Amino acid sequence: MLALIDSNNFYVSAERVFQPELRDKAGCVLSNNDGCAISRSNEAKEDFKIKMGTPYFEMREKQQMGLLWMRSSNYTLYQDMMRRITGIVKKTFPDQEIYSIDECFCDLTSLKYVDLEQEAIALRAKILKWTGIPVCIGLGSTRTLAKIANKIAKKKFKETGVFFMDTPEKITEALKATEIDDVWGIGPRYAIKLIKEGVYTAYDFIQLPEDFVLKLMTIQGRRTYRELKGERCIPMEYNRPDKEGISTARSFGGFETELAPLEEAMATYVANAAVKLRSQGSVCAKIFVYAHTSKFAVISDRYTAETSVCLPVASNDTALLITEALKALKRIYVKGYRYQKVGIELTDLKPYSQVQGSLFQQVDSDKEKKLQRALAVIDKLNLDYGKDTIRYAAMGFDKTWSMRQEFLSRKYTTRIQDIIVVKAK
Amino acid sequence: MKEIRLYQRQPSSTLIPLFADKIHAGFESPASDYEEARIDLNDYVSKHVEATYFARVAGDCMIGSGIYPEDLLVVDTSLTPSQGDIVVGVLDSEFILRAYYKHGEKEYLMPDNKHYKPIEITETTMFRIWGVVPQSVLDQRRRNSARINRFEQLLR
Repeated sequence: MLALIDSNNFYVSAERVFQPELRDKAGCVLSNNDGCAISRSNEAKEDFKIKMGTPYFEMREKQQMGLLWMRSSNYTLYQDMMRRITGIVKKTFPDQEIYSIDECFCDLTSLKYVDLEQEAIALRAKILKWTGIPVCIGLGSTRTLAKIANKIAKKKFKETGVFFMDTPEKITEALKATEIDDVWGIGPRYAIKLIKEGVYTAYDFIQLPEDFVLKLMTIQGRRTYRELKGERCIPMEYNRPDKEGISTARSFGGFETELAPLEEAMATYVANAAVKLRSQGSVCAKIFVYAHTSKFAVISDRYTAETSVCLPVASNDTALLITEALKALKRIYVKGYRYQKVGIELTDLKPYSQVQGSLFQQVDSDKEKKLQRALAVIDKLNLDYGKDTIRYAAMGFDKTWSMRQEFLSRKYTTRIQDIIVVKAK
Repeated sequence: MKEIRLYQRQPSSTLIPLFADKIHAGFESPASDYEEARIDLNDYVSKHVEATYFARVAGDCMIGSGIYPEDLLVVDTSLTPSQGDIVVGVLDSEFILRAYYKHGEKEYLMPDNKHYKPIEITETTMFRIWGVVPQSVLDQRRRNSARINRFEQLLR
């Protein structure tokens, strides 16, 4: 058996833990730059028909009338709440794969002698009590079935939040109730193709001959088909392989025309990516940078450019990476355009232990050791005292280019000055 | 006659050990076998890390329990309050600090300061417990002036 533990409206739920006034009220969390809704409360879905991706300006009026609350995405908070949830899950179901910020899969094969349904119900209650976040748990014999079980738990078993799909009858019933475009792994394009073939539900799908599925949807589709029939085809990934590249890019709050703010933004992105690079013990040999104007600008005002730099020696040193990235930016920057976005990607990653000095640049071991120590101290300080406590001058101070986050809540669990205030009056 | 010059090949300059450790010539510390992890306050205050949150006190209704305004509270949401526990609850959409007290059949949120009144929890009270406060951190230096006043009176 596998379990899929999935938080309900995760970002909205996390905001509500520390802002009780948001409970039972329609509201949503907005994407980066406060662009559109990315997490909605049930009230917002039901009473105001707010959809995933409803743009902010369409909701503004309701917000001003006090009918809808809005929050900018507070990823620091969500990440911490996610860590709490996965930590609690691991104590009950130890073989865990964190799949996304609000979902994790657990392999329950090793738990032979426990009542899985009771364990899941107790686990769900524990997560709710400890973190205040409601989750649903679906149990099925494959990942695709666990996904379906989870959706049914959300819809039909609101009380316990758990659906244990253990008998053939339960599976058949669940597959019949699952529309084909709700099946994990079947994208909208294939869903249309299948509907044309008269396949409306997951149950219809597994009635098809396997050869036919293979011909219609290639090997990916066959994998989903077999998973729905109870054969495990997607293995658990306990240790995610190191990322192939680390990228950061964000649209500006507005437009930028000068080089200086673009440089500051780029330096900041490089610094953030370098922290990730070091945290996974890697170095990068190549930096890819790009800049572009809005895709919606008139054609004569549109500009897109990208370039990359290869480093003579793979590195994880923020200062060096910033210097190289900014040189590259200067090469592609053309004055006169209104830039909307710059981005970077650190690529050609390898483990730090495999760094090779180049022919022309011998690595000075003592200096290198000192540098690594300094970087570790900087990372630790920024982790303990808040991001950018120690920063590189190139990152600037004003951040005119920074994200629009008008409705950002506090970092209740990671910054001492941001913790909740309790009334003792 | 041609002159032939012989060069000796230099050792390769690219094969440099990157992170060679220095060899220590002194004795190893005799204490290294006895090293233990330093005392960590977290081990004492947070029994359940995933359920531990921090909160700041605003107000003086718990002074009798040694909790002063601006003090730091450790809140453990995994605990269920027992008689007399200090709790953080949510009352009418606000975080509130009181002690939990059951008297006969009735449940109360008790202040620990005679200037405040007990709050009875009834079916109509919009109240829920959020967590129990197992520890609080009092900033002793912020209490200095109050302490000095007491000493002054004592020595007068």
